[in-house]
Amino acid sequence: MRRSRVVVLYVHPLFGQGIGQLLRLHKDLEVTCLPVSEDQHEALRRLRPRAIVLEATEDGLSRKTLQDLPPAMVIRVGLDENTMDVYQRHQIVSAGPDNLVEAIHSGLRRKAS
Amino acid sequence: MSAVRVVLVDDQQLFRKGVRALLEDEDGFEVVGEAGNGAQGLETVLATHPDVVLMDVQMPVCTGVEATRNIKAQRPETRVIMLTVSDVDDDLFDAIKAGADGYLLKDLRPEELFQMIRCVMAGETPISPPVASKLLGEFRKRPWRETAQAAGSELTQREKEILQLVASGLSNAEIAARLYIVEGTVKNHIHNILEKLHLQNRVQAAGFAIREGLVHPPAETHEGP
Repeated sequence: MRRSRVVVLYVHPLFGQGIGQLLRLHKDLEVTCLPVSEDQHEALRRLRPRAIVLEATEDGLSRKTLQDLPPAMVIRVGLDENTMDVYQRHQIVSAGPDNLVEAIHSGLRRKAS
Repeated sequence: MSAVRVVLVDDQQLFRKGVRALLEDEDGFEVVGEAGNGAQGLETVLATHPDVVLMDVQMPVCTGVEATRNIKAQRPETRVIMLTVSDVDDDLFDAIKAGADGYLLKDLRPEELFQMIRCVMAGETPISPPVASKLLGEFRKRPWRETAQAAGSELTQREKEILQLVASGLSNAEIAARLYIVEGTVKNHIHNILEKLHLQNRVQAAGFAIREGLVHPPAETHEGP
């Protein structure tokens, strides 16, 4: 069975490691929990996760925060709410109008499938 | 030794389920129920008779403070530990007044939470360090001061001695060893001290002892110019 690597980036250890424990119940997921820190970029580059669960304490996700993460699905969670925001992230360099239209169509195809 | 039976009350599902998974993976704990608000929490406690409740503070329908007050009224033997992101003074003091046996912030590591639950089962009162100083500071200026002050003169010499050791941060076992008495006797003395001072727990007793000069709080360090 192919396992998908998931990284949980947490601010509160009890929250992050609890999420990690829940995800480990699913054998198709290989889970690593890391505290949000300045050293996280190196660890993320090494781990190359397919999905990142990010505990965010501020409203929304800033562009800077997203840019600092590797291309992967990012799922934003917070201790103060029962909602999750899911971002499917990939970066297009030198992007023009065609890329924008293609990105929209690509997103719509993914949603339909 | 039988497992500590725990009920979790928190409206954040992911947090609640995660803590449940961590507790169930740790020896010595059994999660017997969970609830998403204070009203459901009370129902769950009355149905399952847990040893310990981990209780959030801010929740819809019925807050953790209200639920704690109700649980303590109906099942005083159940230990309630507040587990919250809130270090707001009012939440903290309201929870203590409602009878909470501990007040922990959610920035704990899992192993710290396990240890704190074991502490509360041993009759101790776990408090996260950042909120402990707030608590002591507030008790220095509370209106119950005069009442407790008058009651303080009723303490026996032995009780004053034990109160000093409580305020110095010693556990019941450490106090017993220090005074060459059994732990049960220490518990009885502390029970009598709390009765005489009209206090609810050893944190309040420690605050009383510091304020009345029975012990001196650790010196505060100041940084910068």
